[in-house]
Amino acid sequence: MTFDDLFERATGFAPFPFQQALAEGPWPDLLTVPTGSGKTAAVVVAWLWRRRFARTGTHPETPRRLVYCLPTRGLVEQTVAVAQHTIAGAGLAEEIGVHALLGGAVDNAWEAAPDREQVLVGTQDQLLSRALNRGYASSRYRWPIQFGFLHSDSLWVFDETQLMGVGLSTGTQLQALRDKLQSAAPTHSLFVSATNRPGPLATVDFRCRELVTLTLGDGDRGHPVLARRIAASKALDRLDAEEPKAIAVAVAAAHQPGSRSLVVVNTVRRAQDLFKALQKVCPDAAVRLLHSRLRPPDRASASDALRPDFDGIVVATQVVEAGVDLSARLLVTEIAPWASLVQRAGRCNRGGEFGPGEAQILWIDLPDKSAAPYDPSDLDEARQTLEGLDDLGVGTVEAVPLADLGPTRPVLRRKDLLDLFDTEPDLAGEHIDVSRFVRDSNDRDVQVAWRVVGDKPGDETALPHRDELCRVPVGALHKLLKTAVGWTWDALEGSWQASKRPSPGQVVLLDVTTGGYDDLLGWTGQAKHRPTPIDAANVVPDADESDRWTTHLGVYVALTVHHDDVVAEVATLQRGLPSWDAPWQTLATAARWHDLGKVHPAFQEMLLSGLEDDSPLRDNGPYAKSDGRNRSRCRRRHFRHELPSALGWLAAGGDDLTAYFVAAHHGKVRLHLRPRPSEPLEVEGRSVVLGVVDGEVLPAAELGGGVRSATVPLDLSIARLGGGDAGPAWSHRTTALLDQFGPFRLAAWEALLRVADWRGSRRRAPSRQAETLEVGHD
Amino acid sequence: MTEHSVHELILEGCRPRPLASYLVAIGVLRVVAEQADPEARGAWGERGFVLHSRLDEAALLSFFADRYEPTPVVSPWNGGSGFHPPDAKDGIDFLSASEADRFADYREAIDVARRVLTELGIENKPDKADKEPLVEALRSELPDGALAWLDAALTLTNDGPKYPPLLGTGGNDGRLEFSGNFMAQLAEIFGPVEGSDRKQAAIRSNRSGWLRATLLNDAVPSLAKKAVGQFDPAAAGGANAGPGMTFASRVSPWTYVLMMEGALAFAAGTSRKLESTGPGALVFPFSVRAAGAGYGTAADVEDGSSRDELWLPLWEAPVSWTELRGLLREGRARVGRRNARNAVDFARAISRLGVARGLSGFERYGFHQRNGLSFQAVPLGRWSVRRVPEASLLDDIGSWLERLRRAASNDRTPASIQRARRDVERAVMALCADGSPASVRSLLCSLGAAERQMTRSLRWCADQNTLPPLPWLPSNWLQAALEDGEEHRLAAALAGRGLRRVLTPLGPGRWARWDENPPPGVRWFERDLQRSLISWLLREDQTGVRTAPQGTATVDAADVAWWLDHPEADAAIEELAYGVALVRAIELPYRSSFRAWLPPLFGLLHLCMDPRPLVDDRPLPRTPGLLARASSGDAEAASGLALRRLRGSGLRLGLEVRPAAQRPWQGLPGSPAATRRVAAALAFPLDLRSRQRLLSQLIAADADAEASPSTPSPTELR
Repeated sequence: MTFDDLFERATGFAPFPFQQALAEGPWPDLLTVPTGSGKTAAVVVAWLWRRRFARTGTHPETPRRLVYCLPTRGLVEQTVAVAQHTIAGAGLAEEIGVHALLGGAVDNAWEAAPDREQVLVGTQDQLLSRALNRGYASSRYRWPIQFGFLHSDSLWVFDETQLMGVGLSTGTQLQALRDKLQSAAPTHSLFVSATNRPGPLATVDFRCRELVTLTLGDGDRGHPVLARRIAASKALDRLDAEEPKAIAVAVAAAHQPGSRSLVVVNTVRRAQDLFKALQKVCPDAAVRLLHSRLRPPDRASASDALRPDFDGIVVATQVVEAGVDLSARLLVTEIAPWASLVQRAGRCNRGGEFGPGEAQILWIDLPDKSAAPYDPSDLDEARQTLEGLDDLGVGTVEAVPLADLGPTRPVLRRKDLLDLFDTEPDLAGEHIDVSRFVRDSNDRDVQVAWRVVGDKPGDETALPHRDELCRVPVGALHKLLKTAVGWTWDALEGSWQASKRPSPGQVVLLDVTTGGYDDLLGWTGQAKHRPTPIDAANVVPDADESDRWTTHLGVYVALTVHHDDVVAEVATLQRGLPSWDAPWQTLATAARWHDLGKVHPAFQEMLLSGLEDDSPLRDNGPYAKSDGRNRSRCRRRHFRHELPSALGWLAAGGDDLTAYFVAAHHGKVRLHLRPRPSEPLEVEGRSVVLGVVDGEVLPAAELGGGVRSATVPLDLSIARLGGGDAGPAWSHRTTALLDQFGPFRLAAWEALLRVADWRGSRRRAPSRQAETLEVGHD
Repeated sequence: MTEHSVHELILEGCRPRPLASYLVAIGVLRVVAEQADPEARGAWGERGFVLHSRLDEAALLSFFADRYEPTPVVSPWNGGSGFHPPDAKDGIDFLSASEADRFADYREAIDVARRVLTELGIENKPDKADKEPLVEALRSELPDGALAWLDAALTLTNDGPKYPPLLGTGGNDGRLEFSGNFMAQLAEIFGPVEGSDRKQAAIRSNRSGWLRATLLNDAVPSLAKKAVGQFDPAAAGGANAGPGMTFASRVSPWTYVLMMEGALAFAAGTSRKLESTGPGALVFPFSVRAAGAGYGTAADVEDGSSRDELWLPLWEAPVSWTELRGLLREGRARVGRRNARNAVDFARAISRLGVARGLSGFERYGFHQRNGLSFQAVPLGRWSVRRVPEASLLDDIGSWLERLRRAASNDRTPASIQRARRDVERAVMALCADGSPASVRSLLCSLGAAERQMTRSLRWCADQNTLPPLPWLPSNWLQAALEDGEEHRLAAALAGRGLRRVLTPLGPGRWARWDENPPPGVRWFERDLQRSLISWLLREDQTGVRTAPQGTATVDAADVAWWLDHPEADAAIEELAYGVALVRAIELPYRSSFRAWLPPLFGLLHLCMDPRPLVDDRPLPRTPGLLARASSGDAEAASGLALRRLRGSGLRLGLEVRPAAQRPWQGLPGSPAATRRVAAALAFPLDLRSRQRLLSQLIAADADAEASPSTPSPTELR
């Protein structure tokens, strides 16, 4: 098959020359093509071609994960659709999964399949927070897996970079740091934008490289389809109106029934006001409201506005600025920075379907005091440019020279990244807030869900589903919570905690009577607006002590059997990931020892507590898994079996890397050995860490594969500063590993063992449980 | 030196005190681990910091002299940093002109900083508005190696820059700019050697002498005249540093350089820096708000001018730099579920082992403004890490302490409450330090005194519940506080008799809360226990509400006799009683020494007044005028009334008479003063056996008297 064949099968069109160059030339660093030139399809097909079809040896260097990072939800939804369509067109839908990461709850299934080809499409919030080891709205125990795999064997595509702000700086730094600190498998980053401005990419560690740029050539410009798009005319005029009502009247007058009109304003608040005004002024027209502060189902009910044949008026915020594939005859826009205006103009007469004079753009000026969220000086610049133009067609726009600025700050530094490797909460119970590296800091959101909560949500109250969640600026929520209370999930304690000042990135549960949201208008922050709660399938929250695959597997599995299974899965991963630099033998050893700590009497007692006294099962232990009928907690509070596993391995003379993999196999015991905040520090004068008492004995056990561990005392001196009889302190050992292997490789490797553990567990699960247990929920 | 041998080198110049010396130790470990021997470890020994590394003394000295690469320390946001026109430039000029490899990173940092200044168009010392964009640009542009300094000196937050206490205000303390000084010291150490051969030789010898002085505590040859700033008040010049005149600061340049290398280790980790839980939530490791408590010179004025405290960890097992870095970054000091916020919390954390395991102690420093603008690190004492079980008592008052702290930090807070807070905090820290019964007692006393002050400022306390009364304390406080002694039993007995409700207007109910409109109560005379007790008894007598002793909160005859004899103990008993009164249920170990001799008047009055049953399972009816007579000092009238009441109730009593000279108190009647004290002693609930004994003594005496021809009367007893 030739590339042309593949492209046509996948997209239904013949490729433009630049699309072909992308697939067959070297990967560029920068792809500069105007909006609407089919760049998403170009990237996806180019990746497919290189992975699956190209005869030359590009396959090993082409990462198996395509990570498509976008600034807005709308772009994600659309890109997912294109990717799915393209992959299905190529006949690979069964083999290559497309996973969307946006909103609150995210498609996590990809994490369990590092050895498969995958397309991840997500917002910069979801993807960059994961790449920084602080995945938004994700269990913190999964952070290292996401971090590990996103930095290995991944081709990152940053699209619409002009809208990413600091996220772009973070993207460039992460690529530079991956190259410096080494990944487990090759990665590459591709920065895609409509305008050629390399300045923002020049961050401190990235600027030293020669960037390869791919842009439209003469062949592309002469192509009839692209030529028509480039030549499409969009008459520009100014609209003198300020109040919502006046604007509404003007829009109603300019709107032509039978076509789509698009009104773009800069704030959600003004969009809501204008929407209400338009409903009054033109009661007969279909009016839709689109902005970022809507719950997904509420937004979906307005999304018919995006259909090609929509007849009516769409009021929107910046969410339509990029990538949203709609074309309006009339575009009315508030003044915005030039780059944004260019994007908005791209939503008017997009394909050149309206002839000269038909398509129209009206712009509304704003006084400086209403400039937010933009800087008045940026608006000033745009104003001067607009005043000299009477058309905003692609050709006109391209002729306007652009200032090439430096990177957006703050820039993520190597030191910051290394700090982020640690996923323990700090002493205040807080995690590093990475939002300043994810998005410009004036956009710091919390995810809010509304339910009938009553006085306090019970501990079993499920985490909100993404359909329930609305993004809300953190300051606005704090304001609403002055007279009410929100609830956040505290995984260490396994309960919902009252919170008056949630941090960005947190998921907050509110009682519906707290208000702040209207089903039609979205987030308003006003207590009088009360939403209808949304029913959604929910995820049971993950607590520090929970171990769902262990206690809820549905069948008793002996330790030796489980170890054999996991060792086998490590081998499967090794076969599936030939291009990876990974210590496979060490991982196999870690798999053989990882659940040793479960032979601790307190743990076996918990597993067996559901059995009759004379059950024959009692004689066939020790077990790694139970059938899930017992619901008793371990009598040792805070007991984590990974710790005695690792201590047992070290007592047998084992090495630190294996010990780290063993300890980290649930993401709960990693760089430090510290008591949990509410854990007693001593029992009878002996120190306690994670339910293990210093000096107590771990019984001998068969580990499968002919390996046997001896009876050993558990020596917690490694939890002390300076260590003790058992050698150097744990934190010294783990820090040395981090220094030696770097964060990317270490995380990817530890993630491999966790995936092997999930898969090994699933082997024995009765099919019913295997379905209900979410993949990778440990 | 073989490749694998590890030397244990005692650095006698590096001790926990002064702060500069502590920081030099940390700096040596950091620099050696990062540049010479990654396996290096260090621990605190008796004679100084012990460096375990492949370097012996000669190798260590030659490493610093020949190969050490200083961490780039640049702070262009400060005036005096060498980057702005009026700044001294000898340090920065030396470094940027140097071609030595060891300064390559430094030169790059200086170049980048200059470039950033140019890009932002900053030509002079940046003003406030320029500072933030400048720091953000530097944080994004400086080479990795120079970020350690920037992060140690300041942190940008949404509320503007924040400064950890160790490095002043962004690496600037009063008139002393740390980075400029650091560069100048480097020039002093590594600058070109010029002049005659003899002069050059002298300079070279000085330089090696400086290094030995810093590390090994050798005498400092030819002191350099450079300010050391807040780190070493003893060496820093100033009003009291020399005999009668101000000296330039005298310190080895190496001390300054390595001290700065050590101070860098205290940079907040990103983890702490990016916490965004709200304004003021930013915390730096081992750094807490000062509390004017826990050391001798704490005084009101220092609370206002001191910034923060540092509690610097000490340990005995050798620790690697990577491990220490983690420890310093984390700065764990846990009280309950949260981290220590002030010195009192920190002391509590130590006593509960809420600090990282393996730490042996903490050297405590306060930053105090002593010389105009500049702050000085004042050592406030050493704290050993050991478990003090009694410190768990503090959990009972933890939230009240927090309320007190918050209430007392207000401008409108009465001065008496502020003093009370300081006393309480001082007592809390003393308890955390040793946990002895005396320390628990003194905490109880300070709490009792605080509640007395609060009662006096009731309106302020009760207004919006600014400061609630102390919670009722559980009885394990008593076991921890009281020892075997008269004063303790007497105080506890008063407390058990309901002293707190007499003193403090508490609303009804199980939980302590203010009663804002209390009914008129007992008139209490502060620091006059005897008068107060009489007032209390008179009030009971008038209202007819007499408090019977509850449970085991009683004293025995010997205690009462002791009290009669020891008026000088009243103040201590009163103070202790205020504190013990906070305990909900007073129970004392049973003890009765009833053979003590008590004045007969006490016996007579006690039997008449005590609310416990005496005859026919009933107490005696009230004897009008009895208490009034006794408390006015009229023994004769009082004993007459008492005898009449007792005999009228069917008791036949005699009185024991002893030579009056034996004790001033013995015999009847005593002086009016003695009589008043006997009357006041009635306030102490007497245990049953002593009471029985009193009764039988009196009956026996009466029987003897009956054998004589006439019935004894008070007058005959004279």
